[in-house]
Amino acid sequence: MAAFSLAPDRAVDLAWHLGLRLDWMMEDVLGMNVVLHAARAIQAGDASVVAIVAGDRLVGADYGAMVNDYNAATRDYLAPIPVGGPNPLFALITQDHMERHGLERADYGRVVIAQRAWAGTNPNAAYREPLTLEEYLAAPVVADPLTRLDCPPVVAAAEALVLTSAERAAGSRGRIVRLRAADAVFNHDGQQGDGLTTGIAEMGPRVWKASGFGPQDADVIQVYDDYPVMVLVQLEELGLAPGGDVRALALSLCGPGQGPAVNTSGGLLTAGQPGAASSTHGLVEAARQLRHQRGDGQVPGAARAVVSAYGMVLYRYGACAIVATLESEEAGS
Amino acid sequence: MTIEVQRCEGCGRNAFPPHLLCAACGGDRWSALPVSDGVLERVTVVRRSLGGAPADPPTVGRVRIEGAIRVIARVEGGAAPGDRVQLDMHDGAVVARAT
Repeated sequence: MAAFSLAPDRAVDLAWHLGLRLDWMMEDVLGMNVVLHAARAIQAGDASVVAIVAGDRLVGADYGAMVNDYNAATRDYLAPIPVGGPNPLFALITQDHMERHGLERADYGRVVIAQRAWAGTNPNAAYREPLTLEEYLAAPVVADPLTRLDCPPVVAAAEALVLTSAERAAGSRGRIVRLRAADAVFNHDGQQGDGLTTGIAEMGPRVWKASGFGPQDADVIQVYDDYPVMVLVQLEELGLAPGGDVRALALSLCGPGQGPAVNTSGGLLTAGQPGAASSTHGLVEAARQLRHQRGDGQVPGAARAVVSAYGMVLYRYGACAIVATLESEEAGS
Repeated sequence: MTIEVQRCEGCGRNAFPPHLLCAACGGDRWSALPVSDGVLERVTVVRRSLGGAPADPPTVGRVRIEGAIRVIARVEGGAAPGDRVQLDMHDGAVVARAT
């Protein structure tokens, strides 16, 4: 899509208004989508090295202005209510999820507490102190059942990564991280569902197949965590819930050294949500893990990772989903 | 006391917020369908929002209307999940009140 005058709508909003579900889309506000396009440009020989930079400086009233004018549907149908951003929408989705899986607030607390433990190893995280279940349950309510600790802090931040061909990377030092598979789907259900199914549900099986490894082989897992409920939804969709048991999945999240290594930077919930850089946050962390550059937060021997990005709330829930898998090896091996 | 929903003249599917083309049949001819009520599915009270904690926190809810469409609304008058609610536009916002 190319337009000077469609703002605040973006490509995915137009797709929705046209009733289109898309497998490919140009949309530069989704950092991870830019990575997918960059990979294709390198494969086609159009570029040999691509630097992907994602960032936003949201300070003062910037965030409020952005969320009330996020797209035309939000501006015209949500801001007048007022909803004040996506928190109430995900409160409703969390209520649905709690009922479907028989979860309690403490179960979502496991997500936040585990990620806070990981954040203790990330000097760039906004919240790094350990968090207890009592503190989690006592946090000020934002929109029932969500509290302040279930909503990511807005930060000004940027992230960058460099992508190149396997040929060119072979001459570099340290571990090489390969993009094994990547997939995206936009406006997967036209906002006709309940928000508890993302595009990842349909992409998961084909991404694993293309990767040559499966969910049980992932050493590092980075899923988009605008809200704890979406962490559990995406992990389940990627086949990472033991026997499909979402509560067992929540209880398995413990932080460094125990259980699955999920959102090892601390995620957006503790590191902060930096606008467009949110989309590449998991990918950057996964690459650092697979390059064995994560210091105290290093997952020992990490060689395979899965990363997802989710978001762009059209009206009731996120409309974009992207999944990638990565594998690393020593250069020259 | 209604909100206006689109009905596709080609296949009868409803849309809200308004679409350009129908997601089911690709049609571009719509008629306006007034909808006066629905069933309140979920509510949440927005205790903290942009700029702090409002003295009179709004209740936001999700209402299921004709054609399995779900609408986000401001909930007034103490309506609870499961209640049939009346729908109206007020100052640009969809408002749901207990019938």
